[in-house]
Amino acid sequence: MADDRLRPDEAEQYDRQIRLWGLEAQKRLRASRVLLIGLGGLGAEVCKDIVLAGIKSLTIIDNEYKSDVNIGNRFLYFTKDTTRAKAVMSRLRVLNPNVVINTYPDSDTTSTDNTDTNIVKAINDEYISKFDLLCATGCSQDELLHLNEICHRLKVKFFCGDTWGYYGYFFTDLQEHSYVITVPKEKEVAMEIDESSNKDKHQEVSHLEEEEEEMTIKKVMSFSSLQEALSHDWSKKPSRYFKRIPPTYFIIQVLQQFRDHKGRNPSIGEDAEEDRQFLYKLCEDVTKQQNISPDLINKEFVNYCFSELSPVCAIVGGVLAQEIIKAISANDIPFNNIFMYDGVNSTGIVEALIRN
Amino acid sequence: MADCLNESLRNTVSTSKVLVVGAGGIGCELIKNLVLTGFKNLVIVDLDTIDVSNLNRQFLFQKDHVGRPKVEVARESALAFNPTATITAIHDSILNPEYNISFYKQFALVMNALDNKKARNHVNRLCLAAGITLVESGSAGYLGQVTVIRKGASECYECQPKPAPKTFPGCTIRNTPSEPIHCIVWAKHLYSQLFGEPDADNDVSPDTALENGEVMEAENEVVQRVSTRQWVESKEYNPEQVFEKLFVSDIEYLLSMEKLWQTRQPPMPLKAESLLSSSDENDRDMLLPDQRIWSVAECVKVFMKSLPVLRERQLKEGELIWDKDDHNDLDFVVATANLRCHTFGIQLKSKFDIKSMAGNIIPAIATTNAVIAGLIVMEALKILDGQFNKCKTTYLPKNPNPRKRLLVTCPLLKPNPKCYVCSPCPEASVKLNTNSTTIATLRDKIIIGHFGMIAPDVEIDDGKGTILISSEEGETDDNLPKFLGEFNISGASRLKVDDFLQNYQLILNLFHSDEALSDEKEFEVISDDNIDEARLVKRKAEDDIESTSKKQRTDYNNSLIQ
Ligand SMILES: [Zn+2]
Repeated sequence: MADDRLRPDEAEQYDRQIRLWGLEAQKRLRASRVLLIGLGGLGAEVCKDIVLAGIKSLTIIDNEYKSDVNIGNRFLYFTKDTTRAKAVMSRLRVLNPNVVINTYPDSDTTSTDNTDTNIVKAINDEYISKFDLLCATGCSQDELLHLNEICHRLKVKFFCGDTWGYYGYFFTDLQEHSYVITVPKEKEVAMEIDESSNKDKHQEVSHLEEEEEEMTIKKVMSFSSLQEALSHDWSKKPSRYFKRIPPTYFIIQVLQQFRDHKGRNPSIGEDAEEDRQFLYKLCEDVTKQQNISPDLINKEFVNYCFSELSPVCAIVGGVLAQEIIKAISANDIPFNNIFMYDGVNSTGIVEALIRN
Repeated sequence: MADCLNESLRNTVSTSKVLVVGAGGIGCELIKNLVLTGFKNLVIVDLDTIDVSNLNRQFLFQKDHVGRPKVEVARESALAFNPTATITAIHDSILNPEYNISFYKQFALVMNALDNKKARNHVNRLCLAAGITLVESGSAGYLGQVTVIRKGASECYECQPKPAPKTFPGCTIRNTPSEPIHCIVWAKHLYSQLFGEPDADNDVSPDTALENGEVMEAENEVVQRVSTRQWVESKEYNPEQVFEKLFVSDIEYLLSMEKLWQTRQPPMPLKAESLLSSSDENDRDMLLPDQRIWSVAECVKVFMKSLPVLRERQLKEGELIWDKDDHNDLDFVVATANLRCHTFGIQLKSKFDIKSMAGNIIPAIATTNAVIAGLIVMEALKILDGQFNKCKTTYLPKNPNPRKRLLVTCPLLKPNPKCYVCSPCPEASVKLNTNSTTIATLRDKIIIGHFGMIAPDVEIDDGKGTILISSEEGETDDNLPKFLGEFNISGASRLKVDDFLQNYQLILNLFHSDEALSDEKEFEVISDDNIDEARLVKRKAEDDIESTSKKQRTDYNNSLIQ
């Protein structure tokens, strides 16, 4: 059996997070192999966050939507004289030398951007079974369904997500997921945002530890596949539901369908007006498909969905990466099963999409 | 650059000069987001240098940067992904007087990415004085929050009193510890008694004052006691003799005060034979080396070894300040805290745990900081877009709330009209014993420690303008050891307190009290708990999210003893 003890330099590097999620979680992270698809702003944020956390290996597939104007990811590659995947690899290796970084197809082979063959669609059972977790960004719905079908069957933890301007989401399918939660009998750890008053918190915590043992409880949670989640019947929601929960889901559907039809994201270039009209048409399509009132989608969103916005990538990417860490370390309740962010209205919601 | 923004906002963003205070966990993420959103003119202020334990989240830094100033490396890294930006890196403390109102006035916006209350208070006051909108933020573990402060329009950072750090009564620390933390606090006090600036308040010897204020005499003899420092100096820091005093004779002395042990488990002086039994129940393979709990014999060995090392350093470098990242400093505290735990029958703790508790380490991760920094920029964009009315306070809890929100937003509240910082005529009241409180205590613990000033001037509002404290170096040093009573301050008096740099004036009402204040406190801030409905609702939201205990929230009057 491989030695899973952390080296002293690793213990030092990961000190502040081991104090949060514990040594066991860190060891599980250290043994996990992750496949990530898409190096847009969201993909880049997730790469950064999970590489810093200290997974075992990260394999990157850069998909076919890379012609988009990307700005959210520029922090990971800024050398112009090499391919994007290669530049990202060297940057990530410097970010955390403990993590093995690969690209697929191997970046040393020529012509990685042969658009005739769809790399994502060509991914098969054998390839996916080499990983513990897959995270797909910037894909078409077909590609996502293809990947999720394999992952669901092979029990490889699955995440997919995207951002468009002020909007973003990610979806989670952990199949049958076992995890533990730790419950101090009295209360959860208090929040402090201040160093000096935090002194307090630690002392509080130490009191708890002293007075009563913390209990860990084993739990299991079942997740829907993407296919099942997409067939969620929104028309059954009571009308007051949308007074509380913003209809971000439908905006995301419109934007995903735009990409599926056009093979690209909405653009502010010369196609802007045409794109706008097409988005309006898709709004009608989506409300019909979902059997919901057309008024639910405020058409204003078309002014906020172009290109990428770095803080939106950071917010959705940060929450997504934390869920990936949670899933790998089998610690704490995962979000079941979709997180949706709307930067125009400052909302971030976790909703359960199930076949109902 | 950011095609997503409307044209006028894009222009505003690219031409606005903004200040980022702090280049740590949130700061690194924030600088990246700002540059990628199209901000072209940034000034960053930070005093820190890079440490290995930063590298799990502060992604602008790498191993070969350890030891270099954070701002410098952050600037280099950020320029690499947008060479056209103008980034000014200032490696300095934001508390310094150069960063005055006119410094702040050059910015369209200020963003805080800080980790301590003192600096937050200070930047809050300067932004209020300069009339610049401030985005304030914080994170701890999985949790975080972001809010927006604008003078007259929203709550300032100090509108709601913050819970003060929990402190322990001195007699618990000196006489009757019952938990590891009591022994750890004692060990840190011991460190500064032996090697640092000795503080009479933090002596570590047994004392005769009981919790109820009653003075107790030891049954056998009343030893003429000198301070620990003097005693140790007289023994020339001989480790065996110091050990014998701390863990045998002082304990025996405590035992002689029988009243203390009527309802408590009495301590046991450390005996040589107890040092031989080494009970090592740790599973070495499962743990980090530092997570293993030392045996008592190991603690003794480390004590004997680290004491002379620290003494030697003290002779060479002068008074030492305890540093959790210094191996000898930490070893000394781990050994002494555990030896004291052992004598009092308290469970021993690992070096890993003691480092957290003694060093007040806040766990920190990249993901939370990424989310918080993203939220800061989203608020900044609203402000620059003229949409201040849409700004919100956002909390990031660990799990979604019952209304499914993972980002929990509350509208910004109106300023608290009684706020002792941002109200038109700030005023506060303090209860203390004017006959036993010195001017030094008034300045350091009350005006600087509690009210967050940096360089106060204080005069008595007695018509004569008697100057009590001057911010000019040395001008009023003669006053410092005197008691308030010596300046005719008794009953009720008004002081005018002023911090020129912060452009902040406060009327401080002092009320004399003969009675001892609870928990050996030196003073008590009298607050009127006149909180309106909206604030209560917000407080409720904060309580839900933070799960902050009620006890902590009402404890904010406590003084900073440690
Ligand atoms: Zn205020």
